[in-house]
Amino acid sequence: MNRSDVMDLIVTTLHDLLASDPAKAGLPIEEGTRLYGPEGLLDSLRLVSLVLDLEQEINDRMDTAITIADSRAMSQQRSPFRSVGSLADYIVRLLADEQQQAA
Amino acid sequence: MGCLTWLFERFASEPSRNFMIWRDQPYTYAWLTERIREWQARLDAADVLPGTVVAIEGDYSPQVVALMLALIERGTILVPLTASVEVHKEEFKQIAEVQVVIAIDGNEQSSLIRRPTEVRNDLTRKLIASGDPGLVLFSSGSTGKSKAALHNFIGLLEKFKTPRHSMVTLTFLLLDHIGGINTLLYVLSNTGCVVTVEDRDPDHVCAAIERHGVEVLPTSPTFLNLLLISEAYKRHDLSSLKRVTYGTEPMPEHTLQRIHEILPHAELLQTYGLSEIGIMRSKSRSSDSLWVKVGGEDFETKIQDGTLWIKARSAMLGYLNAPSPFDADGWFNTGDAVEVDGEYIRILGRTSEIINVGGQKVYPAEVESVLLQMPNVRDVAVTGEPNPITGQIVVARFNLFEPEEVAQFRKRVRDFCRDRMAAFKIPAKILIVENEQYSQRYKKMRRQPAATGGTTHESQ
Repeated sequence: MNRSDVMDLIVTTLHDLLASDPAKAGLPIEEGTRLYGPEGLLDSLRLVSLVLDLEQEINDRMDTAITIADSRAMSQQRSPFRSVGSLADYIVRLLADEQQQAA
Repeated sequence: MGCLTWLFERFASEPSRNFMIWRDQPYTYAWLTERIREWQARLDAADVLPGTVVAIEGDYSPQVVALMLALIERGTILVPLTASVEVHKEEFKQIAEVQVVIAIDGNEQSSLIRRPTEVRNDLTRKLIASGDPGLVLFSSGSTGKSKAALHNFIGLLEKFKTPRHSMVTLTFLLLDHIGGINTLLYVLSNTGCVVTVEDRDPDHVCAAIERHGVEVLPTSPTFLNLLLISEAYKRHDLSSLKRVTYGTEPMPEHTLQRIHEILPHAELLQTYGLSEIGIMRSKSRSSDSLWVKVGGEDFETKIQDGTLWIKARSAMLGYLNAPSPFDADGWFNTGDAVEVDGEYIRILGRTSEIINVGGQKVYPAEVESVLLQMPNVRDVAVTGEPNPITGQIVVARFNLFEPEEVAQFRKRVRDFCRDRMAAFKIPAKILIVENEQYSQRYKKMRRQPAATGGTTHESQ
């Protein structure tokens, strides 16, 4: 999975999660779209759902066992959850780390 | 004169009545009386003295019942072990300090083996010194290691001296379970009849109800769910049922309502009991209500911090392998969270199973009750899982009738939940699993399977 695959997956998952919310469904989702916090697209519960859905989907497709939300993610200087782009970066890094460990 | 004289007198007054239907064959109280006499002679010959710790290996059968009664009358300490605890049998025998094992196989053939064991446990020694019979029950261990509860049998028998209705009752719970013992003693003390089933799937159970005119069905919410799912009630005449009792776990509200619809003539009653304190008398507000009044002459109850506490005359003497759970005044913390409305309580679930999502409480049973109403959902178990963002998250493991694509199903679950529960209760992690999620006792298993490399390996 390269970065653009990860981006696509985040966008699709977000659309699914927000489909039921008339205030947010259909909003454009881009690199810089804020996920959580002021002007964020998600509340904490939906953020948790997004992260878990992504974990499951990626691990299923890639046969990996990455954990997106753990103490490592929470202790990053800049939160990986601030925007769509930063989350994609973080996931790509996790996948690369896992590949390295496997090799 | 032994402690069961009063019971044997009742048997003598109804010799031709059936006490048990086993493999579709009837056995009378006269037959039972004769077998008890034979067992007494055999126990004499084998030198099984009062105060001996005796394990009975076997499931509900006429001979097992006869042997149990002979052993109680003799003043021994009983340790019933059924096939459902096969893997723990040796461990349980060691904990209970079993000295004699009497096994009764599927053809009613028995064997007696002595074990060179000396009783060292202070609780057991004290009971032996009193001369009273005892009973050791192991907690099901669904929440950790099994604990062995030692009871004085005299205390358990006391409430059955008051005569009540004699009914044809189907046994569902096993004899190594407080509910199974309670059912047996209730039936025998009123010279009723126990109907046993080889197979506990809904169709077998319903067929037995129809064939033998069963009036009472003591069961669990999980079995009632399976009954609904299988639609076995459509294939059998269940009109003989007068009373269905359920306990051991919280009842999903929707299940109760559906059961009330398909069995409008039966009274639905919630029971409440624990291995540690026995079974309390209880009264549901109505057949479609989860509100229940518990107590009885031998029990006192109080609610502390939303949790039910009980003080019972028939309480166990203590655990053989754990510190006493009673406080200085003899109160026992049930660990069950309850809601209170006047005299009635509603059981919300185990406090240890409450999921804390960002400081808000979620009861697994409540979420399961909603999820069970979804099309294509056969069963579901809800648990909590640690999460760095919200402390814990709600995880739902589903069994489906027809395979469904996970991502699609996940969306369907969330859509279904949106208008039916608060957002924090909606499962964040949704898994589809293949294995059944209830135990041999037809009780929901919420314990999580041992973690493997990735959580997704469970989903298909």
